[in-house]
Amino acid sequence: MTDLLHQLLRESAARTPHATAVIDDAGVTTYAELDQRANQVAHLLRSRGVRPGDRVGLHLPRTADALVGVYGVLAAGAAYVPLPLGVPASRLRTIVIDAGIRIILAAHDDTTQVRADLGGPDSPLTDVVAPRAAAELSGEPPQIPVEPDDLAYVLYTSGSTGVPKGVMISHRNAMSFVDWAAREFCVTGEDRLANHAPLHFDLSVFDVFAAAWAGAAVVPVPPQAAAFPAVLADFVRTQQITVWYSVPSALNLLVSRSGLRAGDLPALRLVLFAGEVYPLPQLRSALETLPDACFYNLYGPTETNVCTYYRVPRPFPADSAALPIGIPLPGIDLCAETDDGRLAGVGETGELCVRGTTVMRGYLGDPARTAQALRPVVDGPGIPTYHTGDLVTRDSDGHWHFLGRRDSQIKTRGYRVELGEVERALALHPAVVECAVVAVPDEEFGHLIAAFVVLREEVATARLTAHCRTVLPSYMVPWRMRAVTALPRTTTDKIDYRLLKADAEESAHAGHR
Amino acid sequence: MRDIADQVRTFIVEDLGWEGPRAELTDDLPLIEKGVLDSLGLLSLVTHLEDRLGIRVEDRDMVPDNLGTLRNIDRFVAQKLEAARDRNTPATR
Repeated sequence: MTDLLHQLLRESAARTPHATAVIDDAGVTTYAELDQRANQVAHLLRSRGVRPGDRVGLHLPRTADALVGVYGVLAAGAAYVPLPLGVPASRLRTIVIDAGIRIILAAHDDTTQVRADLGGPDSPLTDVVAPRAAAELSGEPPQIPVEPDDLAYVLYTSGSTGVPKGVMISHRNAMSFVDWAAREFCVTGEDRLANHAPLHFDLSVFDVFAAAWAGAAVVPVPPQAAAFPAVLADFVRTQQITVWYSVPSALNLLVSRSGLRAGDLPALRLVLFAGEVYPLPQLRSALETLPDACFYNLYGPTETNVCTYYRVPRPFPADSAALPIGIPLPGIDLCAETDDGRLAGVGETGELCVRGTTVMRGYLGDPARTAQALRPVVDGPGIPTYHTGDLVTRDSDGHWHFLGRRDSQIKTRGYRVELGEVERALALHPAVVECAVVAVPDEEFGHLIAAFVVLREEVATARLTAHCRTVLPSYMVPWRMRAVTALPRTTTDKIDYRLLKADAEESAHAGHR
Repeated sequence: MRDIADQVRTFIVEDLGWEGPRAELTDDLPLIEKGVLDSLGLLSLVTHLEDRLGIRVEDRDMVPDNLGTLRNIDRFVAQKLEAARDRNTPATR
């Protein structure tokens, strides 16, 4: 077995060169073609000065080009950093600077704009190139030594201090998960994996690399399908998708708002979900609509890859109150630390701590935060262990259960959001005196974000929402924005978040179906 | 008719906080592909149309032909309003 991600592509290209690797609007790309184009991009990156260990930005639409970019960067010995489309330039710029990105791969038509948006005197960016610029170069694999502990990619997640953090994942970290998942879920060359999650969301790691592991086809979900449930159902049906992996909210749109009837998607054999808690009534309805599919709940912060899994039983027990996150992957050690500094026993609540080969190398350029997150557990051997911030408990069957967060981090549509980061973004607006941001639980989207602002002058709240859109990705932009004359205070003069949350919940129930 | 598309423009700018110039929201702009609406934005828009205009948007109505562009939304809402009027006007009295 290989322990390098791009080796998966090379091996499948050698084994089944004519098998389908990607299906997008432009048609079919075979494994031989994908491998050749990736090697060409690797040579292009080398010629532009990319060296092992460098970080290369990917700002590409979700087509075969995105996979060419992923594998081209890896084959060049560098790590890819997704810079998603549709995210404010100011946020991408923060990432470019933090990750020291000198080269970005972007669609041919976007290169000038990307250079203008993300380059300049304070940016390390020197070059923006399109994959198609590599078309004349050699398709042979470049001879570049890459070690399993070298970085494969850096994913940026919301940070509580208002600055996103770069999670560094090595080839070994990712391969430990991919190799396990491809075997556990019996992925073969016959499978067609829908790719719903964008590259900056770590669910994509399974779609992209488990497919290459097995020589299976990846089919990126087009934007129209992601927004319109009926189009999505049609996509899954006509593309004969066999494996689906998404956050529960996306899966729920597919099964409950698309007009699907039980048995309409007979090809779909495996449904994986992760990223947020699946409300049980919705899960039950998904199980009914997809009677032949096997369902798994996967759990793991970006920092650990997937670290636990749970096979949803069929029939699903009627008395089940909650869905476990399950048991650890082989080679992963879990424990829970209680607030008073002990290891939690069965039935006790503690913070989940994860140790093993899937756990990240650290946060890019931030040794202090890395040391804080990766530290030995109490009573444990002195091995760095990722402290998730998730409160869990273990039942007598050995299954772990997620109970909630220790802090103000929430999930919306599967994305992690630090509410403090939204507050900091709002506070940047000159008219804002003070603000507070709360999250309202929502059955369809996990949470909806509501903001309360005290203004120094009359300004339409739409302008504040627009301001947020220029500095935050869309999933972090408050869904409700309300101007108030003052924020409510507790007796200790802290902002009364409980009152605000109750208020937001009330108006959410009134306004959202 | 034009005021439905305009209402939706206003909703996109004021409620969804779309930061681009209003003039860019042309009748035939593909709202999803251009990132003006995502799945949550689409549901918010539908809720808004239901609340404001008293129409009912069924799950099966949620397709690009009805909601993919401002022109489509305009036509779709007009049809819905007409159907509602027909229902409210008994055939014989």
